[in-house]
Amino acid sequence: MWRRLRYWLRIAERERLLREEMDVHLAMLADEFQEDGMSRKDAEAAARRQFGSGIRFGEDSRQMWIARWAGDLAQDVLYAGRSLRRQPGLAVVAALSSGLGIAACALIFGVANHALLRTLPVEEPSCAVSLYGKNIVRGKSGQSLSYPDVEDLREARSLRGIAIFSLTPGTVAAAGDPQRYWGMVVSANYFDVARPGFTIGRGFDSATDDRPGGAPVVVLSYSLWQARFAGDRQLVGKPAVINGRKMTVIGVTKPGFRGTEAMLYADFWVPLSQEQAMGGFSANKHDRGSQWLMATARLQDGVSLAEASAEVEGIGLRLSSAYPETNKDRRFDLQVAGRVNPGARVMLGVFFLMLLIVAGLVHLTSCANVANMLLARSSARRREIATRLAIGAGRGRLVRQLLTESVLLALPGGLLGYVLAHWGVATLSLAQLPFSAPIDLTLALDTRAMLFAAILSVATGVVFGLAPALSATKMSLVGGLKEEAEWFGKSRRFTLRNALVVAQVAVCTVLLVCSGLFLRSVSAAYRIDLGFERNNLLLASFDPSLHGYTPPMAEALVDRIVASVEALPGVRSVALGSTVPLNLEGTQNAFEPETEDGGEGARAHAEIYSVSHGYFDTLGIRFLQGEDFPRGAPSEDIVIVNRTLAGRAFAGGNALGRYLRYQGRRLRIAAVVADSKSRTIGEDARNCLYFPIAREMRGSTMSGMTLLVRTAGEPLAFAATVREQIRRIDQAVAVFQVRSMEQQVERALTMARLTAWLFGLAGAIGVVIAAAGLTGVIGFSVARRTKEIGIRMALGARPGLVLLSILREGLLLTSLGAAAGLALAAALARMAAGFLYGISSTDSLTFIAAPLLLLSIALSACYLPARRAAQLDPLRALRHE
Amino acid sequence: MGKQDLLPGTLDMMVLHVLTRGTLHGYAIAQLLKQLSSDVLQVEEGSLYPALQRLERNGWIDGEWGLSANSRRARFYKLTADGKKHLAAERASYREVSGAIARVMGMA
Repeated sequence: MWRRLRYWLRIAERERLLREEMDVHLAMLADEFQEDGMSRKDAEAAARRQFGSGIRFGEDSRQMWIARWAGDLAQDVLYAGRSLRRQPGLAVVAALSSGLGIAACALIFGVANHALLRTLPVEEPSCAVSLYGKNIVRGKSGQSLSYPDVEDLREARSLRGIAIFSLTPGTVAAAGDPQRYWGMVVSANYFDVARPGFTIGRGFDSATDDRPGGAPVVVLSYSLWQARFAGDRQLVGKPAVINGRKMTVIGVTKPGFRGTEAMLYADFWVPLSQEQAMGGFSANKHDRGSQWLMATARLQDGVSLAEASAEVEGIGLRLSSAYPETNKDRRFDLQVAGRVNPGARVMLGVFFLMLLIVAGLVHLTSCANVANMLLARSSARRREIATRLAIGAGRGRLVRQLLTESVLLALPGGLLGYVLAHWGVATLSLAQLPFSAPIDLTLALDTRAMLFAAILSVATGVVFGLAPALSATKMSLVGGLKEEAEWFGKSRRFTLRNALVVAQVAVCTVLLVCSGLFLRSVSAAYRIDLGFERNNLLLASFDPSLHGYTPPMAEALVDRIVASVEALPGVRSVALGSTVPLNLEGTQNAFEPETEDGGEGARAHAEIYSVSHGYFDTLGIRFLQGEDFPRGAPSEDIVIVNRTLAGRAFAGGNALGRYLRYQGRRLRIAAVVADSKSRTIGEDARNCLYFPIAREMRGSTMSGMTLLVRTAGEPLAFAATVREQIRRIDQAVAVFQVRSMEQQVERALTMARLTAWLFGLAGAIGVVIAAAGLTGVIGFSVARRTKEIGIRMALGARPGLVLLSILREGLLLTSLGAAAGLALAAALARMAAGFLYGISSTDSLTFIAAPLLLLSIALSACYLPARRAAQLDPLRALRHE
Repeated sequence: MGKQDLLPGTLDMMVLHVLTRGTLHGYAIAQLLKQLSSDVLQVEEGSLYPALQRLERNGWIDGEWGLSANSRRARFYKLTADGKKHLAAERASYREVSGAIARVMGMA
């Protein structure tokens, strides 16, 4: 860019000097004429005459010194602008269709860019890093760290200060209802390492703020400050009530800072010393096997990421030999802070790539259409182009001229696309996720996305303009000038235009098949037996541990809540669970079944639930053997298992009364219940262990505990009442995620439905575009063959025959495209098989219906031009032109 | 005898030849060309400058700004070593071609 600019400046300078040189020459000539006795004016005129034509000079020197394209470019743009103004319809259609495609691509690029490549809003973001644990056997990175591991990592000389943090939910009571937010407990040096900058106040001070028993302090995020404290600039030094405790606000971070992890966003920060007060969920500080911390650090000046990674890897290796029982397969990993956790990156990358492919496919079909329109136009412009060729314009020059036109045509599309993408991102940012993790979807399109849209629109112009431009300028001059379009022109059946239509149809087939598969999969998902009764069930979550309730205190609270809700008219039964099915999250832990002779069986993993008496009845899960937990804490250590676990862990499936070992406990199996879906609707049956929640009244960190209310009628009608009951018992307790089980199921299908919807939308747009393209192509071919058709009819061909022959042409193109598309779709569907519920990736209904639908649409698209051909008056057709 | 246009391709050669006499500016080159051909050859002076640019770009002549006799700022050109070689080559090929033409026309 810079070199080109300098080259340009030098050219301008050269030209100026050259002109000066020639002016001198003119002056000298004029001097001489003046000496011969002419007046100065005559002498100058004579000098100019003798010097020769100025224009000639201009052309010559420009050709010599100015990069010719630059001068031509301006001319091209002007000319293109003029010629487009004459055809506003084309310009509008092209802008609309390429705008849609570009919007889709830019939107997905923007989201991916934001998720994968965002720069952290901190000072010197390039030397901020995140530390992760990784398991070299399972090849998984992005894991949490244990406290002792972090202490050992502090030896790394390439790192400057390691700050640790852990996510924690907290109920913030300010003006209005108490609400649940996500925050972090952090080491006192957290803000010294992260360096986000502060709107007001300051960060923690290692000397004063992180002493056990010290006065509780808190730092708020800008958005929490704005939302709950009205942006009060005098807030520093005042208390904020979090989890029922008064904490002194000492600072508010700069806008945009929500922690150093991408997608895991916090709204408040408290020192680690207050961790117990926050609910005390963390495990033993000195247990190397318990990984509950995340860490961020700064690179030492002049140290590269690779060098630091190598050192950290070395420490991991040393620890693995020093502590083989916990660290044998464990190493450590570094990456630039603010990027997506490496454990999720590949999955997210694949996901975005898939979306980008779909958007790209739609964009390609619209490009093909615009290309087709340009092709039609360029054949209408044959005479103009032939004339220009004849008077000596170079073919390259003409191609460039036409390309300029198509790029100019695409630019408004790019602009429109960017605006649409912006709007789309704003809409997306409001989306609700089906789980309660602190994942922020606040998105923004940055300059990179803008650049992407710009480049894409120029590329679009070139792509859809190149083929028409090349074909337009490749013609015989004589034919072109005579406008004698080869009128028995069906000699070349497979023209470029036909190829474009075939490609369009192929892309549409792929999109339609995919959307069909996902739609069928969603409807199959609704028919899948969930293992529980989804109707008339209300769910409401709350977390007593966030309000200073110890488990025994929580028990009393929960008892009062259950009793008061149970007493409501229209409530059939009430139960409590640490988590409920289809929360898309959960805990998995290992257990060992006990063999009949008291030995230890093969270790296995199971989903862990803590549930109250009545949980299974309320959900509608059948007891196969044994009976429910008693009300209140059972006297014996007992557990309930599901049928899958019983069948897998205990040969013969007779598990009732047998024992299993779990985290050092020996538990008797009190009942076996039927299987039900645990995390997702599509999953195969999982092992499930149900513990009595009454033994330890504690919910999950993520979602607290959930009240299940079986109602007589519409469950959502009870939502307000249930909320009110809980508030009356303790008004500080935040109630969140009040939803019906129907909604919970819907949410669990969100991704599947979204995907189906996305493909369906893409497919529908694609079909409309392709149908328009097909009509255009067939119409064009009819127009070109008018004379031929006229002759045929004059020779006795019946209209029906003409109609059929035209339809056959369209049908041939469509079938070719559909066949190619089906092959492609089959390959793609195999890749997507993991996302499909209840149907195979070669679902015959979809693979037959999609092309049939396409064929019938194609037939109707061809019918209009075909009928026009059949109704031709032979006499007029022959006189055509 | 009227004035004649140049044979194509000969302007470069003649400019190079004129410059064997020393360092000259464009106007002087044009004057010398006219004088040496006894006013027969008509150089369109406007086309002289593109020729000079071309020659300079090929490294056959070197241009430098200086003051003319009546103290106008002008660009003075001189022949480079490459230019001399090129002139010799041009001269040889011109002699060959013009001799051949003369023989064909029965003039030799």
